Amino acid sequence: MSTVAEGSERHGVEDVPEKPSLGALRRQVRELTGSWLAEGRYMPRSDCWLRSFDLDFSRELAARGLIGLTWPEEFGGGGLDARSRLVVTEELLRAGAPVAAHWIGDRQIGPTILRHGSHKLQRELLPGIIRADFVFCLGMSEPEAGSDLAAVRTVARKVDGGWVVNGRKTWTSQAHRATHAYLLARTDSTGRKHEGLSEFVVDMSAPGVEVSPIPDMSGEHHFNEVSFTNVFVPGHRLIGEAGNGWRQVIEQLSFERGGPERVLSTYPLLKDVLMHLRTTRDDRFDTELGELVARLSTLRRQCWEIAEALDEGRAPIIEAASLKYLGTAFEVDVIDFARRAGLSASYEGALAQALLASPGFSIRGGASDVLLSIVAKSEVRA
Amino acid sequence: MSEFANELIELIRNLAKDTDDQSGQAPSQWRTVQELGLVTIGIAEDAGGSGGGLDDLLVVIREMARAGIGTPIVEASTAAFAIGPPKHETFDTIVVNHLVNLAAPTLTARLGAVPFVGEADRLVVVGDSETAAVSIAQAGVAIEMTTDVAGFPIGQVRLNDAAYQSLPTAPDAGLVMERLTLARSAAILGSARGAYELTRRYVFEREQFGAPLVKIPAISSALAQMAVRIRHAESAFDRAIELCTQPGAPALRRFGAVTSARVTAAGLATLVARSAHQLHGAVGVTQEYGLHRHTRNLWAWRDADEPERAFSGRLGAMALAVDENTLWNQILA
Repeated sequence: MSTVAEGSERHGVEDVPEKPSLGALRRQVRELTGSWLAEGRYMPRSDCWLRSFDLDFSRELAARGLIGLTWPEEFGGGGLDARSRLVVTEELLRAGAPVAAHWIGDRQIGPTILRHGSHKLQRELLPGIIRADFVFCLGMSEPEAGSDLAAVRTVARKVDGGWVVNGRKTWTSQAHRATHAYLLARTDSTGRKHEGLSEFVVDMSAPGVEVSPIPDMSGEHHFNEVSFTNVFVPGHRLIGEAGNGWRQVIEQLSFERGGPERVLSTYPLLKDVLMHLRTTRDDRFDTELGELVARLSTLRRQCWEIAEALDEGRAPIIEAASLKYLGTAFEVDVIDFARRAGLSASYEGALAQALLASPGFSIRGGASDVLLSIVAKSEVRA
Repeated sequence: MSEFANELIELIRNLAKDTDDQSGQAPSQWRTVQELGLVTIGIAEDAGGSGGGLDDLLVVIREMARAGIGTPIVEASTAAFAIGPPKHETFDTIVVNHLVNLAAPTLTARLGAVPFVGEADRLVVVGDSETAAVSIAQAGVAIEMTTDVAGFPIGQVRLNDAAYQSLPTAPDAGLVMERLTLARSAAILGSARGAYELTRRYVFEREQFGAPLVKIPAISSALAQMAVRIRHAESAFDRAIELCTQPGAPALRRFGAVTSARVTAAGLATLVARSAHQLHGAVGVTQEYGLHRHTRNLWAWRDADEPERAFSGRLGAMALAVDENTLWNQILA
């Protein structure tokens, strides 16, 4: 089409045309990642939000007020909306920045504590997440409870002043570096399996917590098994109501699915392919690239729609499940595209890194098959 | 979203009541559509149009396709945008051709397949940067009539020293192409919805192995996949309309959004047609059952105007022609 050179250019091509406050946030992130990159302080990589851990980087973000961006100012948060946070997270992912240290606390556990935690718990934990002093890992899956999360067997027994936890959690990314664990445990086993679950925050330094590494097939260590043996958890570390854990965790999972990390995990690799195709002046892949561009631009739009829905107080559960289903498929297709476009020879490191991480994309946070069944149920009800 | 959307949807639903289920084509409906002025929605009243906005027109196109009403509205409304409203009781059609020399004194070219050219009054030729209007009833226009995969009349058109009107004051070729792309995407989305709705109803009602088909997990998964992809394509489409109706949106961003919407819609057409037939079983391929009204349209429209690959190829080439900043900030934004 010939419209490209024409039309009124109200905005320069340097910035996404949007509200100035959002543009300022983008620029802040770009300046930080740009200067770290220039100083050689990190290597952009795929799947950075799970695998690229650098507490110093997270603290730099914290110093700029970019963690807990949507949380109330009372706790040190930014008091901004979900769209502002989206702008920050997608720029970080675009840069392949080392964000794993704060990602889980910022995305998931902070918001859970805000929704359901007592004021005391909020004051105890949120400022530490915001400063990147507290690093969270997720104690959800167990050896016998994967996609079937309600099958958890880890038990929290009520005692004087709190709870005593016994059990094992697995696939716990970054547990070996975490200060705190989110824990889903059974507090009552008399009812149906979806009843009697509760959510807690556990200190990783508490006596009885043990972490053993589970290296993944790339040789990297992010997964762990965490065992809890008579671990005492103070009463105020219960999140929300005892026995209400299932409803709370489902809510937690359905919101965390709708973010750009379900779309952009392999964007750094896509940048490499683009560079490769430009340098070699290879136009054989234009069509395939165009399809990926169409998908990615639409997926970014869907992330935006989800953030808008959250800001309007809606619960975009089906939208988030749909986004994750399509987004993770896109992430994997980028790797295949890189391969076909001939990247394996010149960029073996980046391609192999993405490929070895890729099977996890459509499993963690709700396997694709489970997501489809969530959508199917809503279509049946509709 | 169009502020008249609900009224327009209601209007189209009423119109749909007398569609011929088997062919999906009803000449009397097309006359009604013309008489109601639906073809010139989005053209100002003082320019001879019906008023309203582009978003209103796209609602009409989408809802007509969803109801399975087959008419030349995509071609006729875009032609009207390019060269002004048609003469009374006629309509104009449109073709995209990047090879024709629109600077020559007369036109000589093979234009390929042109939808509805046999019934149209004038033909708008959209070139790379210009548009031209050709009167169809002249000696220099040879037409060989046939039908497309949806059963609609198309003609292979050859121009031989054909007289034409160049249109210096008309919207530029890029804008016409943008309208055509949006209109076609709207039609594809409507038809995909129509096919999905039929399929959803069918798998709920049809019992096999002692229960409705939807109880089979593979069936409900296939249904969910269709729903997810429809939602995806609708997001792409909404983004494109938003940018095209918002004053001052950068041209590159509009190009990215409109082309993405068209590519996404074409991909959806393939998936929905395939799954809808698979889930329907044999009844879906009968003339009597209405599914083919949608699936044949989807097969025809995904490659109409230009093949799906022409759109994705342009988008990919543009992504490589700019730097990553511009890609991220404009084409992907």
